[in-house]
Amino acid sequence: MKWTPHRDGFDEVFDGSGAPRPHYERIVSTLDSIGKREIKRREQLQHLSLLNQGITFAVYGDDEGSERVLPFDLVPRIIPNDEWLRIEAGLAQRVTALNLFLADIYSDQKCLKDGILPYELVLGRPEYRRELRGILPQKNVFTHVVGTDLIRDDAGRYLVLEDNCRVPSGVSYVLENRSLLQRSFPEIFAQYPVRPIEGYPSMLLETLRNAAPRWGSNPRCVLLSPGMFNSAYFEHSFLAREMGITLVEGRDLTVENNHVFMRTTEGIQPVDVIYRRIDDDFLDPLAFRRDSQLGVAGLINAYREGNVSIINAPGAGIADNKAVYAYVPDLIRYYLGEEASIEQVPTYLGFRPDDFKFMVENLDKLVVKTTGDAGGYGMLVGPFASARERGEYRERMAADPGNYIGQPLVELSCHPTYIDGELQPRRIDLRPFILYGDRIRALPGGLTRVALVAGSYVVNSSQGGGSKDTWVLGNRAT
Amino acid sequence: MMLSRVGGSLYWMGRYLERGENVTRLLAVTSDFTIEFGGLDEALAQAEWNDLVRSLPGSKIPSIDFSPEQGLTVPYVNAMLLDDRNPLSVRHSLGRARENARSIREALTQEVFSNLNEAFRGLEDHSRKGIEDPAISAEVVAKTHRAILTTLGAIEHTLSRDQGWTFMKFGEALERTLRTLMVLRAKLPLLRVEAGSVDLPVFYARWRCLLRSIASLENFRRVHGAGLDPDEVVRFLLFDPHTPRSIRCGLTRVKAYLAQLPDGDRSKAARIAGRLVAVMTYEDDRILAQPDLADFCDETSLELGAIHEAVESQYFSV
Repeated sequence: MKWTPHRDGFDEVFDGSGAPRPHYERIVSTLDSIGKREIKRREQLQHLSLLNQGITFAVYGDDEGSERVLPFDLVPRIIPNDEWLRIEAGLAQRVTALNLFLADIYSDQKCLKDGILPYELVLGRPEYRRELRGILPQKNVFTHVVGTDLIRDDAGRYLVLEDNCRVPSGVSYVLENRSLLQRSFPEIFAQYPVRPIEGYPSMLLETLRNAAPRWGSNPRCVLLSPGMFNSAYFEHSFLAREMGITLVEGRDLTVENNHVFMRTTEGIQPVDVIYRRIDDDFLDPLAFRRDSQLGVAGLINAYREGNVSIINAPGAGIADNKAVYAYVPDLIRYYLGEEASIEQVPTYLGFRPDDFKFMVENLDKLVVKTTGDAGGYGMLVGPFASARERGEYRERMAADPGNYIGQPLVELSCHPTYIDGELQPRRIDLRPFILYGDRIRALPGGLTRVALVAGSYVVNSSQGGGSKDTWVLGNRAT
Repeated sequence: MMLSRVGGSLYWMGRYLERGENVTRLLAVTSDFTIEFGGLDEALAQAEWNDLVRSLPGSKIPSIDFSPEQGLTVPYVNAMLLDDRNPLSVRHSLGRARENARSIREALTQEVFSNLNEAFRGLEDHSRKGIEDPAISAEVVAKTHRAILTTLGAIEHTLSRDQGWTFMKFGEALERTLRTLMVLRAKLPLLRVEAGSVDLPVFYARWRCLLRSIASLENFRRVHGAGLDPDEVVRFLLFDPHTPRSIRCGLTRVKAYLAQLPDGDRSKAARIAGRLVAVMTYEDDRILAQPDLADFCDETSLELGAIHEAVESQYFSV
């Protein structure tokens, strides 16, 4: 096989001299021994298997391929155990602090009174649900499922790029990627002590049950999906099936006397826990967006009364607001008295006049994002944008400075990726999934997304990204 | 217990799969007949295709331009197998079955979904281009039939026998009975009239074709031999309690599945089904004495429609 190491940044597989790092040596030699033709054959089988199993996602605004397979890359990303343990501890620290922050701003707002964050940055954002002030979820946990995006800079340091505290998606691909690679390249698994991940659905179900309202001894949990036209529908149905719970749409639920029920062939039946995969905005037309067809009228009142648990809790979205992000190290220090153990990307905030001026003047050097969007939408990668794109973006920024943040372009790490029969370097990130049940646990590994276009920094599946199986190495049983 | 929406989707998935299987089989049988008689008596072959179209009321067939190279079969296969604009085409039925399956994947097994998805994708590949060659046409029809049967096998062997299963199988039984009635309605009146007057080889071919259209030729021969007495064939297709596509057998299944549903033993639908089963069990001579079975077919189809409506309002629109 032809391997091309990455020259200008951190290469996950090869060190500066071009030799494979120790934990990659056996992968490199095994793939070399399997050979070019056989790898090509297996790659085609992998693609066919994804299509036949219907492991697809929908791309918005694209009539042609409304169902598309998430491209899967056959070279696994490997994380040594000690490295992973540091990541896991850092993620737990971060999620703990974010939940303390959420419980605080929906109750006493001490962090605002103590001046840790400015009032307007929290209270002025639409993701902060003022109507929920005073309502705390069971056990004060707001974010039962978090997907934190990590990147590695050119020195190989892990940095948090963003926290996804609303409805992080991608975990179904983590599980499917593993099973696909195990079936197509069984020989490489024999060589490494890879930590298993297939228990995730059981862990997730435990997390949901743990969040149930006080009285239910055998709580009924459901997964609320916007329906099959949503881009992540495959994942919704996958998780419901794997957990053995009912997948519902808004029209399957009804609220009576502030209790939630589902419509069944045997009349209406009570529901205790809703793992919702729709945004706050659409949850309840009576509470939030009135035009929502996806939600359930009266749901928020049922939540307010403590009759139903909603996972993640409504209002949690303020914790992954990109302006709040800039303050997370301060929040960790404030609530836990510790320094953040995973660093993050320096961030300029549009609502600070000096920062905003700097951002406008240095648009060609910065990545600018809106504070509330996700999925790579509404973002400008300054160094790669045309002067005209920057000009247009500048005008939009001027209309609502507080809605923008700027960050220097961080050089993502690269990983060999199978492209046109060769192994070429492509940029990657990592989204570990963290569950907050009786305690905080991260699934070993997570979703490694890869920017398949040469030179690209954008790994989002909606914008031409693919994914890899991600291995965390354990200790081999002796 | 299950969501009303899921119950409804499983019911429709059962119906669409059964419909797809039936239409595929009709295409295979009629194609074979065309090959056999196309050279000898083209009008006869054309008459079989006309029967097929009449047995699928509501289907939309574009005006067909026949070319000598393609023969009769290819244009009909394109219209009835591949054309998604035709609401009774196999492509349409499998597409709807798959949409239903996609919306309730968590209620199915991986085997069921993958096989159905593969069956659909196999057709879609041809759908885009259409078929031109008669040999390819026969191959695609056979392949599709096999893929549908494989999916039905996956359903049989992997799905749990819970309420969802009952809804799906109820849909299948209802659709199957309806499809058999439609074939009988389209073919029987003329076949019975002409029985004494046509050439013997043609007579046998036409009645064989009827039995094969309802997947009953072998089952019939096992009971009555290959003599193909018209009265015996009609009695077999209507009243035989064992062959899975007779009207009596279909209605018995409909009744049995309804009885398994919650509050199903004396529901409105169960009452209609019970009455129909009693008629099929005890009034065979009265029915066979009717000169024209068209009325019987029409009335029974309407009763099946009433069963559908009763189930829909009792279980699916909570």
